[in-house]
Amino acid sequence: MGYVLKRRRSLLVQLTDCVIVIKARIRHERMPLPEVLAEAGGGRKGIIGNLFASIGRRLSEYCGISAAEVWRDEAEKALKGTELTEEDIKAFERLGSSIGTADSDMQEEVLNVYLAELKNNLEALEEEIRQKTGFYRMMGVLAGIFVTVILL
Amino acid sequence: MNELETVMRVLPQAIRNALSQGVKEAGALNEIRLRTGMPIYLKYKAKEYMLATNGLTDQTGVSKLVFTEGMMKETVEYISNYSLYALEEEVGHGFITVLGGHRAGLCGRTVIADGRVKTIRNISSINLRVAHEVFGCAAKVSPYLFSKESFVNTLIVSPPGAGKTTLLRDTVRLLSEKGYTVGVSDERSEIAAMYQGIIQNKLGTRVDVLDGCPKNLGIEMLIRSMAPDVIAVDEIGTREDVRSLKLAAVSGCKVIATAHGTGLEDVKRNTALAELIEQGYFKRVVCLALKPSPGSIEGIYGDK
Repeated sequence: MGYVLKRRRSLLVQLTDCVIVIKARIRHERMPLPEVLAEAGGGRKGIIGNLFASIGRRLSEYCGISAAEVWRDEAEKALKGTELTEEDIKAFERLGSSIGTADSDMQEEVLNVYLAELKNNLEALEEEIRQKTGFYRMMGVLAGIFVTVILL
Repeated sequence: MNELETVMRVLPQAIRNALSQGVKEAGALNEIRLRTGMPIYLKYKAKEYMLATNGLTDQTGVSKLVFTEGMMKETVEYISNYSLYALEEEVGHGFITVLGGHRAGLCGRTVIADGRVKTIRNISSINLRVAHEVFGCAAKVSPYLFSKESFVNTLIVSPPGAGKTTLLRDTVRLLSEKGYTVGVSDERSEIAAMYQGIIQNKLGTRVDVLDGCPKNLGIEMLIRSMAPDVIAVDEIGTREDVRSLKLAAVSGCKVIATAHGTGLEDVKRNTALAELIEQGYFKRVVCLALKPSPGSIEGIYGDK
């Protein structure tokens, strides 16, 4: 259980890091989205880095599919079966449906909303990890005392 | 990638399929008009057609392809390279230049800030004008554009669609090949069709382009920074343009420019241009006509 929670936390932190990079590139440099995504993902290893890099690559191919479809398709391939929850994946897919088609003010707002959602999820997850870690530690101590008593 | 392929990559799949069945001569496709909820109109071989699911039609009663809201959203994504936020300046001017030099004119709800159009939201119409290069079209006028082997100030006059920008572009290429350094003030990205810092049209190796800059400011910046032999500028007509052209003259630069008009007398109705013409600023005025075909030379005026 602890592993699953910690792994989810790691994925949410990676998502947060990538989205912060994307926001900075869009806000300050007005870089085109395919390049932004490729850059945000390219410098990172693992599931999240590869996910952004592959979305960026597919968008740059002008394959005749909307950004939202590419985003959803790649998210399903990369994130299904990971420790992220259904809600985490849906929130990520929602970001894909509103990225790239807004002007700069709205684009920044969309990214801020998603970052706020990630922050809330991470805080709730930290609390859950803290509670569960305390519970398991207490269980471990009790089990130790129980074994000691039996041995005596 | 040919003209048609670069046009198709900014269109949704259903339209790509229909276009590839109906348009066999890429060079004869002039524009595609896309309006949400409406049929798709094309100008092809100088005639208007509608797009049907399996090609083109000019008949009523044939099942036409309707441009849906979803198609509009997709097209906006493609023409902006999924990055509308990065093109606010262009959108504020009402158009986006795409790979291949094609120009997408936009209509929708304007957002005004500080007295100017900041951007356009809820885009409802797109006019995709297909850029064509006609290599060698300047050859027929080039003998008239030089005096004692030096290029002379030239004005190209024509109504819309008669080929003044095409002739200007080919003249720039010709001058570059002859060894002139040409500075292009390309306010609407129609001459060089610069896309992400790369000139899409073949203008030659001695050309510097100031893209998206107001014409008059562009002329002055080029004079100060690039020391061109010739300055090329499209669609002049304001007092500011005329002031900058006069600055070019005193700086030793020659000018090739275009202006809207159906002939020399028509262009003289613009008082700013009339003044330049009366003063003999332009040694040659080349007038083009739509008939018998776009690009036809109606007359070349000046002292040969």
